[in-house]
Amino acid sequence: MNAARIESDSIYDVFYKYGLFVTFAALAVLFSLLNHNFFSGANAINLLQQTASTGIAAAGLVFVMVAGGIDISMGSTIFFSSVIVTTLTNGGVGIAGAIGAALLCGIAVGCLNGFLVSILRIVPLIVTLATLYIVRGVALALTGVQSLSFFNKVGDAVAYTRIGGAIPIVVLILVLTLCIAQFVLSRTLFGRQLYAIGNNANGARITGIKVRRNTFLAYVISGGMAGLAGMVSGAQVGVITPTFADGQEFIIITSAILGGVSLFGGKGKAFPGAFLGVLIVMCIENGLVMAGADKYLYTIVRGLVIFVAVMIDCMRNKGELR
Amino acid sequence: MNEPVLELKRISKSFSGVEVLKDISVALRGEGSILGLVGENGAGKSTMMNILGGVLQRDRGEILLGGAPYNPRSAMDADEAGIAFIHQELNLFSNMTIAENLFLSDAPGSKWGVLSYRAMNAAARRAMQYVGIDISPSTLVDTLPMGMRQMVEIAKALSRKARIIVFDEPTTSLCTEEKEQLFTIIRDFSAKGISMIYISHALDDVLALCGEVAVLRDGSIIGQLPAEKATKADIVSMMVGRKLDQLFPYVPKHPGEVLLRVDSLCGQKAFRDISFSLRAGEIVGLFGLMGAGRSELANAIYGIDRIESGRIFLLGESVRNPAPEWWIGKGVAYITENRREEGLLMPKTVKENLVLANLRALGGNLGAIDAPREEKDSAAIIDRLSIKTFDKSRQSAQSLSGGNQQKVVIGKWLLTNPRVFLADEPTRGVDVGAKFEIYSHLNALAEDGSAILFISSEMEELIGVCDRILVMSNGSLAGELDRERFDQKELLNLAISRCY
Repeated sequence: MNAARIESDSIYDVFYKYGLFVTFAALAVLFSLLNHNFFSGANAINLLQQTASTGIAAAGLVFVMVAGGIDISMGSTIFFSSVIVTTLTNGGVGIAGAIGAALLCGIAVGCLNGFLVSILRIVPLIVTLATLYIVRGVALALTGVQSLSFFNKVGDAVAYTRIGGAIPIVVLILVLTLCIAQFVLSRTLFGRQLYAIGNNANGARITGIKVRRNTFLAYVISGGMAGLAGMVSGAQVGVITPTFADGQEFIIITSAILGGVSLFGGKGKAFPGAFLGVLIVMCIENGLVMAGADKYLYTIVRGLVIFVAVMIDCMRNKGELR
Repeated sequence: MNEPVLELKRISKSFSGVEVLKDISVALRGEGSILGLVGENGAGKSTMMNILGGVLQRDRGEILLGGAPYNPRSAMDADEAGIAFIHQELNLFSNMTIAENLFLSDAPGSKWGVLSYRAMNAAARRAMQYVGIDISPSTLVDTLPMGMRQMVEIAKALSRKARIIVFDEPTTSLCTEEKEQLFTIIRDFSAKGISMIYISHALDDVLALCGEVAVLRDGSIIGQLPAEKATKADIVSMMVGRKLDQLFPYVPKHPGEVLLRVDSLCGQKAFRDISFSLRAGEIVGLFGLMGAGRSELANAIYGIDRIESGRIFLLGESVRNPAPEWWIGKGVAYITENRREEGLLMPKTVKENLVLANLRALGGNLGAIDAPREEKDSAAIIDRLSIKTFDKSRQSAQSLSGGNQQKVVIGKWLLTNPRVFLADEPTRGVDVGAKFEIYSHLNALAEDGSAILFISSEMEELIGVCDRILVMSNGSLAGELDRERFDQKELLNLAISRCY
């Protein structure tokens, strides 16, 4: 009886392991049938460029979610960071300064989230909901609720530089971020301890893991990555409107969940997991554009994707004690 | 005689003015010795262990570890001193592999916080082999059976270089075979010079394993005596402080009409072709080894799990698609095996827990809860079951002792005036005194004309209180014994008769 159970579990495992790849492949085939340009090298690079910002942010979010938390303030952090970076670079700050500023903005928000969640022990959803509004408010105050344009040397350098004339620099940043994130998650003590905290925080405490410190760091990382994502997407879009990155947190969260990062904590990967999730979501959006879909379809499809992602996550966690 | 490995001297501890430990003195004599620690729930065992583990600080007294003073301030201190705890609820992370669980706080071969999986896996394999299990260290803990998980926990203690291991009720979730395996390892450790404290309600195990037994009652050590000189009866009377003439109260009964009948019931996986009936006024035991499908059967009858085929009759009428709510309405109660997760709302008050199953009856006008009646009903049950609580509207269920928690679960169902009781392991993790009380309450219910299905993996209690015993083996009904034919050997034979 026991053997049978383990066997049937592993069938599920196989499905969950490769289901993601299959879904992605199926989507790619579907959209290439709808539009012949979809399967071109140019569109592949294009797709990667589009995923850069969301992918970077999702890599950061994995740290928080693996530890059993959630960060819905990422969209606002992205906006905040892009506003600061734009203002600074328009004032003549160079690329290194821009990257530093972007990271610092995010880390500041992350510290606030981390402090409230791990030290004051307030529910993560509520903490980051509050920072979502506060951070956007602060950034709006800085802009005077006006659009900013990010058309300067740094913006162009980030958005258009291609290494060897082929690989855009944002894609490189994305790949590096994903690799480092996944390495830290799977191959360091800190990473493993996050998985332990997400699985059983109390048990982790008894085992001698510094739960508060690690949780705090997870939020700092997620904030920092959102900051970096803000610089990337700001440079790509060129104009920072007051609604810039509004609601992007849900695309990031949906992608992560779709990519197998559990809402219940303790499970998930930045790469390939969350990144594949981002690709799938972007593919759907990209495909809708190419298929010339109506505007309202976007939000409906987004809603459906969130629903499917969470449903799969709940099915995966069915019956498991934690 | 050698110097004691560990000695607790005149330890006292109070919580908000209430003294829970009074001048406790115990010693773990000699390397490789095993000290059994027994006592009723609430006697102070866990407080004592928490002081030893650095989780709580003592008020007075001293602890000597190998002759030197030992003053743990945190769990880490105990860990460094070589004292490990195997808790009743295991502290493993199901989402990780064995190797990752073993080396969560410091990993062999790691540099700058970067892990070396090769070194970790090799060390984990060695650690598991040491406890006699050859298994891939990259196996997910999630996929391991309970007994194996416990071995992982023990291997973890050893890899932390533990010299003293404290086992707290290690056998409650193990099957007979796993238990034997554990005992073999414990004896092996003892031969290798690792000392152990073994806390358990299973007195037979304690007497078989330990060199000495210390008995704790109401925060005091009643005595520490060599196991070979002690009998179970001595220890029980020391634990409860009075002579228990019999451990099991049995009352002859007069079964009436059939209340519940199950006909060729098949579950999805766990059991098949089960038929039996429960008569008014009788206690029917259901015995089986772990995994025999007992709890799954009860779950299916109560409509929690799906039924593949077969029929259920209540008072002769066929029941279609039963659901817990429906059963409650019909006066059928189900005490699940897992009181922490399914039986109680742990952070809620005793009162709220007691009225939970009967909320519908408390709903007055517009569904508002009838507060005076809530008060009256819960007070009556607390009185009837003698539940020890300092304030039923302020004390949470989780702060009650195990025996009292179980009484709250039973009380919760009593309020619905059930005629049929399905009780799954109602005495698990409950001390001798509270067990006796629970048996008496079940007897009283039967005398009032209720039918009780008593599911248990403890043969002795079934033999002690039941009128007849059904035995399940590997998902099917292997036999039924009447009271005059009760026999441990026969029960066990039936229980393993369908295993391959």
